[in-house]
Amino acid sequence: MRDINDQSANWIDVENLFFDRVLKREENFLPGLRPLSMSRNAAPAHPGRQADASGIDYQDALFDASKSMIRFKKPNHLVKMIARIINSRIGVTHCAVMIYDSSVRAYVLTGSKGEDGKRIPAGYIKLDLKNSLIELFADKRNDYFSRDGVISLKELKWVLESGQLMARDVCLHNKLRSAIKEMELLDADVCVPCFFKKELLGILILGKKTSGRNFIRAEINLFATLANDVAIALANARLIEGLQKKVDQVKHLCEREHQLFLNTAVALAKTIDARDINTRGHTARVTEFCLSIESALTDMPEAKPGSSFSELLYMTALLHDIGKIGIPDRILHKKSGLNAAERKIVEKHPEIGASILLPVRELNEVTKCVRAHQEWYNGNGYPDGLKKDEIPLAARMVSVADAFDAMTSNRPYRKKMSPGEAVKEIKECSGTQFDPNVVDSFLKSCRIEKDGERGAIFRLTKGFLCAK
Amino acid sequence: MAKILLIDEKKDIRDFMARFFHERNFEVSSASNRGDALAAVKKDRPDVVLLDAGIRNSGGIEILRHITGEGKNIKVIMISSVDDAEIKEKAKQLGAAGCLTRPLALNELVDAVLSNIGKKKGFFRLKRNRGKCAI
Repeated sequence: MRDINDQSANWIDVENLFFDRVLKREENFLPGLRPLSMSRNAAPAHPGRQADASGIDYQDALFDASKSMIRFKKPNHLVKMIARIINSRIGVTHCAVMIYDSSVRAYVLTGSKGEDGKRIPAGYIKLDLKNSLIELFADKRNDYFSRDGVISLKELKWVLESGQLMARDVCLHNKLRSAIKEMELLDADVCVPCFFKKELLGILILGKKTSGRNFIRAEINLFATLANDVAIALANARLIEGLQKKVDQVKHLCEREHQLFLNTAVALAKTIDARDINTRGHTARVTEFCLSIESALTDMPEAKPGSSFSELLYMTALLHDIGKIGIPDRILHKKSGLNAAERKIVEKHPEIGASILLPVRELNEVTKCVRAHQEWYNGNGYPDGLKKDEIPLAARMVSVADAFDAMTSNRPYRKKMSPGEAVKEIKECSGTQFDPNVVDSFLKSCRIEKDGERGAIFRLTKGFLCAK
Repeated sequence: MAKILLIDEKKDIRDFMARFFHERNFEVSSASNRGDALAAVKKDRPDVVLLDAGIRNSGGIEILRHITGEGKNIKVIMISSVDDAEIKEKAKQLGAAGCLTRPLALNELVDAVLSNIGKKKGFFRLKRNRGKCAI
């Protein structure tokens, strides 16, 4: 451990700096009154100047403190650590850190250490904004009663007893008097402000040294540096808290917007259902089938349930028939089968759907899938004749679900198939119209049960019951 | 010498307050539960009682009821951890001399205690400073 005297040159430098600063300011405040630090030669009884033979290495202590400080994100933890450092390194009867709490508009004791009875319990004590000690820290004239903003009980008393202030500024004199009383209530010998950009964020409070000696300059400097660190930590914490609040707000907004987006898609899907009386409930069922297929789909890396693929699939299923809005009523509501010309018009619905969704940039992928939901796996579908992997997976899935629901629904011009027949049909078209993988998953995701007179019941393994 | 009784469950609070008032010329006794508190009231006949409202089991209000039933000249100052209007109202009805909210401003606590024992502020001076300093 280095001897403290090695550093004495530094303290003198610091004091000289301070001396210059005060000299320059002197004319601005209380002309004629000698600032505290100027009276060092004239005042033999001046406290706080004895050398300390304890041999504590303050730079070492400071280094230790700042090293651990990086680890603290919560200011309360930091405050407790600082109280511990002071207590263990310096040896004071007690010490405490008070931090401004906007909810009570006061400085509240947050962390403390010390001997039983001396230690002030955390959360028990506060200093109001109008407390004379707090006012003293903010006082511009504090060069006359403090060193570097640090207030010491001995120095306050010394200034007061010297009577200098009484003649010059009675108001300040009285303020010092009540500040001394406040310090005695707290049993404090030294009070160190934690300033961040002229804002008093907290106060370090220190009792007497256990050795009974006065605090030396090196110790005061250590406190000032620690106090400064507290201030920065508090300011950072406040900044982070503010940022976190903003982030949460933005997140909340995004979630709301996203919900709005999804709900709009549902509303849009309902318009198709409302228009096409023949296929009422079709969209909802296709969506349910698709989500069921997805849960059974295993060897498709893009199709992990819960990923953004789920949403793509959900949206595609909801909106796949949106293009039917562009098909004339006479064709859509026709009670008999369609002729070749009418069929051509109906086959336009994937393109119309894609063109409706095209302006929505966020639905870019969905638009592609909607356009491709009538494509065949072997390339015989429409509108673009895509095949195999050229067709987006979501479209291949909607294709199976769409066909199954169409086959098991009544049309004016034909009766519905039984679920068993429809499943058979799907199996037969596996590899030509449908992706075999998707068909397998579809078969895995459902089962057909015999149910007496009512015939077969189609059940999804997961999700809701779909009785036919 | 004025007598003060401190009632609080927490030892660190009792220790701090005991030292605080002892240094300021009070004869201090303390209690951490209802039984001890009521015994101390009977035995020591304190002038002032500082009573933590949040004390468990039979709460501070119950203890207050007993103490005020004991004698009119025992002044009880309730200390509650929340600014609760209901507790304050109840404490007042039961004859509490004052009600303070934590965190406390020590100068307010001092004022509350002094005004209840009818002493002037000068009475409240640190033992070790008496005669030494003119403040």
